[in-house]
Amino acid sequence: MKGIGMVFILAGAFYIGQKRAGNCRRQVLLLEEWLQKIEQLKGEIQYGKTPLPQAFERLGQSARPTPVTQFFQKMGERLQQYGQKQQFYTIWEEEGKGLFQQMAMAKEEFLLLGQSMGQLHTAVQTKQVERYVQYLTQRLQEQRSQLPARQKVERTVSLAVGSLLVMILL
Amino acid sequence: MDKPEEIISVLALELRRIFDRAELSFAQLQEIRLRTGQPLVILYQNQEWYLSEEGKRGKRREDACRVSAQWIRETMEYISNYSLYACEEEIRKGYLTIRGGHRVGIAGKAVVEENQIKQITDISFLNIRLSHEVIGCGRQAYSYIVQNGEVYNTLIISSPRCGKTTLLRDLIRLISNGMQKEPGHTVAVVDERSELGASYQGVPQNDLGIRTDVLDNCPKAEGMLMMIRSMAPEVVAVDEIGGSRDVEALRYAMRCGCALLATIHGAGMEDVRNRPVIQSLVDMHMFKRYIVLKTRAQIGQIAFIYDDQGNCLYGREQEAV
Repeated sequence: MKGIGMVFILAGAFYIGQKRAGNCRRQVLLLEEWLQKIEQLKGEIQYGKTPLPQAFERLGQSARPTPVTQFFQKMGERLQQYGQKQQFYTIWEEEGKGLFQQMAMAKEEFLLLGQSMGQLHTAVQTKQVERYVQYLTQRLQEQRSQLPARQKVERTVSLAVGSLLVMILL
Repeated sequence: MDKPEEIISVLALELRRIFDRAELSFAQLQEIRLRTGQPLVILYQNQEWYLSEEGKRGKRREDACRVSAQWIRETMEYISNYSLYACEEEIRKGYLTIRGGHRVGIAGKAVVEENQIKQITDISFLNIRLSHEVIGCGRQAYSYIVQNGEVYNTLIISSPRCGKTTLLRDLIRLISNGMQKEPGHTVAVVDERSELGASYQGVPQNDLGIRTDVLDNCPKAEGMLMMIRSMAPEVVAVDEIGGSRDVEALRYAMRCGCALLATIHGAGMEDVRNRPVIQSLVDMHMFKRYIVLKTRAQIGQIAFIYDDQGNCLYGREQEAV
């Protein structure tokens, strides 16, 4: 009986470790997608002069919805909501709740872009987005390089906790 | 107040609260003037009023609430649909047209390059001019400009805020639909400032009649030529002509056999006649009717109607030229 219980605990710990390692990978993938969408947004502003509500709606269109596409979709919907206008920054902050954590991003990092979005002329606005893209690219590189180590840590810690639990229960 | 959503929704939240409390009739409200650090002013029933924070209308400046820079920034955010960069061209010209055909005048710091205004930044002054569709205000004028199925080339003259756009809009609708025994005509509207049709995503929000085609947000001169070539109109209508290119396009339209409806800023016939650009059109009797509007009267009220010989067809004859 004890042996079976031990196997179950270790298997559970291994599963949790794998899941947490998977989450790390997912964070990087989401950050990649976020960067890609922000680059698209820059194109919409610079070349299409597309108003933000329409640009966000386009960015939100996807056959396979993800937290990032859902964010843009909701932003597009709220910005186009007629008669109940709120400041852009407020909507950005409200809709972004939870998303920045999923991308392992600090709240301030996320809110940075929303602060003056839509309030600047094309050249300045494009420059601002460009700077944000540069920052994100750097951030992504860091995340990618740290990913194997972080995944290893997650797996090891989970297994260690599982083993400790087995020892205590024995 | 019978609040029009399209106006209220573009105001900063604080301003929305003030207007929510204010007891105003939208039909009588003409302008909302926002100037950074200055009292909140409205033009209501042809008079200037201050609005207090409680939304009370009054004549005492001390009671008026002060407009903050934040209110103007926030209002601009809504007016530009959260996308200032997408409205650069309109801002450069000094105005934006919002849903409902209302025009927002903009002033601030002009960035000039090679004698051309490149941008307006630090926007600190807004003038929200409300557009009012007055159905039927053109009936009186209609009988003078449409006779036996023929539409006469007509120029509507008035000072700002007297209703020339309102009158033109109603005349377009009447000519397009037809009235009593007069049949309807195909009308092409070149709506450079989106004030006639108040188009939203290409669809006019104002009633311009069943036989009207609208080219929205297009410069008048180019627009007239495009419409004549592509839509085969019987009547071409444009608002606020002024430049030599506009006049050239008008001449072209007349030569193509289209009737013209146009408006121009001016104090009266003499004022318009003295302008070199328009003078030639007047001297060559290209316009068959001139409608001069009353100042400080009800929107779109006619003072005089002249024919191309200068005979006064309507109004006090002694003032005819």
